Amino acid sequence: MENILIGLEAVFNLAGLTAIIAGTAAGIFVGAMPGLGPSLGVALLIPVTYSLSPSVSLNMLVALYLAAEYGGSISAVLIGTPGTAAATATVMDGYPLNLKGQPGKAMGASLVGSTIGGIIGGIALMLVSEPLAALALKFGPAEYCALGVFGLAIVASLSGGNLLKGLLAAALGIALTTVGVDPISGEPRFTLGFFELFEGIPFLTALIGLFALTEVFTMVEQVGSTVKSDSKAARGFLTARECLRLVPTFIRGSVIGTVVGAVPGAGANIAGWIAYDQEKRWSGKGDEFGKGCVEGVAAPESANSASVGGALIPLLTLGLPGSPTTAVLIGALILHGLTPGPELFTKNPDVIYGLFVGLVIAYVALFTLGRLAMPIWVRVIEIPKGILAIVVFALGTIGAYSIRNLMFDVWLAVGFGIIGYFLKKYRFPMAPLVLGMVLGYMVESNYRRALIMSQGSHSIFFEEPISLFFLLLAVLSFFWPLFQAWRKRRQAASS
Amino acid sequence: MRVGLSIISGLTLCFALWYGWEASGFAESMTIGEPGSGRIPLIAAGLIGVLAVLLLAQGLLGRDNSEASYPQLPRVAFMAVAGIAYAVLIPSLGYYAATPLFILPALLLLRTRWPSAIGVTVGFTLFVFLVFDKLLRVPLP
Repeated sequence: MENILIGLEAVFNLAGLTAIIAGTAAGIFVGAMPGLGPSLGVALLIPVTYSLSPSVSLNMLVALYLAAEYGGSISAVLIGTPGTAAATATVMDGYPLNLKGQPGKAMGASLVGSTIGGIIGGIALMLVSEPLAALALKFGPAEYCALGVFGLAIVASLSGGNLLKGLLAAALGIALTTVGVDPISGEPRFTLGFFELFEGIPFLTALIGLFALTEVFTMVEQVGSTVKSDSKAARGFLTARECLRLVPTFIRGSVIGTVVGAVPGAGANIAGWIAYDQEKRWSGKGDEFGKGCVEGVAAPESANSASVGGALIPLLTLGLPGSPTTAVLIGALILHGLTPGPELFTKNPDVIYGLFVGLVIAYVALFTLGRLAMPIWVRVIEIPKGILAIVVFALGTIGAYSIRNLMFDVWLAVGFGIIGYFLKKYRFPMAPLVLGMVLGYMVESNYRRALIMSQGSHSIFFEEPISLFFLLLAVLSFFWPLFQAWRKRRQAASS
Repeated sequence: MRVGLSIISGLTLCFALWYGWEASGFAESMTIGEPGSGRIPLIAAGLIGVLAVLLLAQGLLGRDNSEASYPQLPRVAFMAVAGIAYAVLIPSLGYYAATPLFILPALLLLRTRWPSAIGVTVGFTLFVFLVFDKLLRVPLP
């Protein structure tokens, strides 16, 4: 109870509430714009939060994250193009509903589903995270190293069907974390004589380059393609009776989203597809799916929204990012001098409990803003790509500069943007690269500390039960998606 | 043969060789057998090298379907050059002078109409001034 009061105090002030509302509005915007998405939005917003308190900053960024997952459904319904990867399942029935003249129903199912899903995911986060964090406080270097290895093992599921490129991207990410002064011996490594690299490659600068500037180059290619939205699309929202009828759908989707979201590497997109598939079986309307069925929108949207709360569980309790957006959030925590992981619960209760309270407020803001300003959101998709590209570039530049007030970082971000553009062109998945950059340092420093404790013996990783558990889990996480892909190929070949 | 992928793999292989060479200059292990600052970089270099060779083989044998096309390469190159020029101009001209000088021509070259381009330029510069300078007190160059 005392902690909840701390959380209420952290949120219920002018800065706290304004940040949540602004973050929510920005989130719907970046979600609705195809190509932007939550990772890019959070990366661009971090410099804005630099002078705010850690609690207010985190609430603003998480509000953007969750609102972007909803925003993705707007373009999915209106133009048949998901604004975010999480909204791909929503296109299946959202766009046909629009073609049937019921876009308001589709967007209503999405908004109500996102709100309910988000609140259920948030409740799960509150219930599960504290006991898990208490357990994680007992971890030593061996356990943290094994946890990092487990985190890296999800690269197989983040590789989007190309394991070789995913592994290479993750290895490059690890290599990038070795730049700078060695954490144990104090020796400078791979700095090429630049004093700016002594602290390592700034994670957020790299992210701004990889997500924002890479996207700028992609948007520049699309200049000239215009999109027209229907201003009447916001009309014809769900009725109260329809909402009540959809309650079981919302709950099923939310439970699936929370569980899948908590699994590192799974993410909102997979949660949406699983919820869509399950709803097809459970709703009794399987034949109507794909032709404009409201349940086909409500299920994936409640799932992808609930996955936000789920994804925050490993992030807050173990410091383990399960998705590119949570990896960016780790960067934000570090920037504010916070250590992602269980220590947050003991050292920064205002941040953690402020986030719990902030999540509820953010979903109220999402529903209110989403409903009242729906006519505005449907027009967002009309913004020309040329304008967006230039504005994102200029914002990215300020963002890269303001992290350390160094022009060197602007150059670095532009460099990462150009590299990211070519990697994207040749379908190198970006998520494993980011994962390597987040977990490389964690694995290396804890690996070496563990071996100092064991006087060079690797048996320490197998003697500690938690460490052994994570290593086994790592093997399973790595090989399971490969086994599934092999099984699918075999089934396809035999049929 | 996939030319683009082969070039990217070749460059990555060169990076792995340089990175491994540099890493070999750091201690691999320390006094009582615990790892030194070179061990993880050496492992990473080996991994990157092997994966780059495998990818290079895929590229040379044409066993990858990700050959990219560049239909708008001049436009992308313009954006990259404009961005670099912008980054060069910021320290000498200052952010508030360099930003309109970058945004306005870039918008016009990306087919934005004059009124919209001027509106975005003025609006964005004003937004940055109010939010970053006045509200958040972020010192811009």
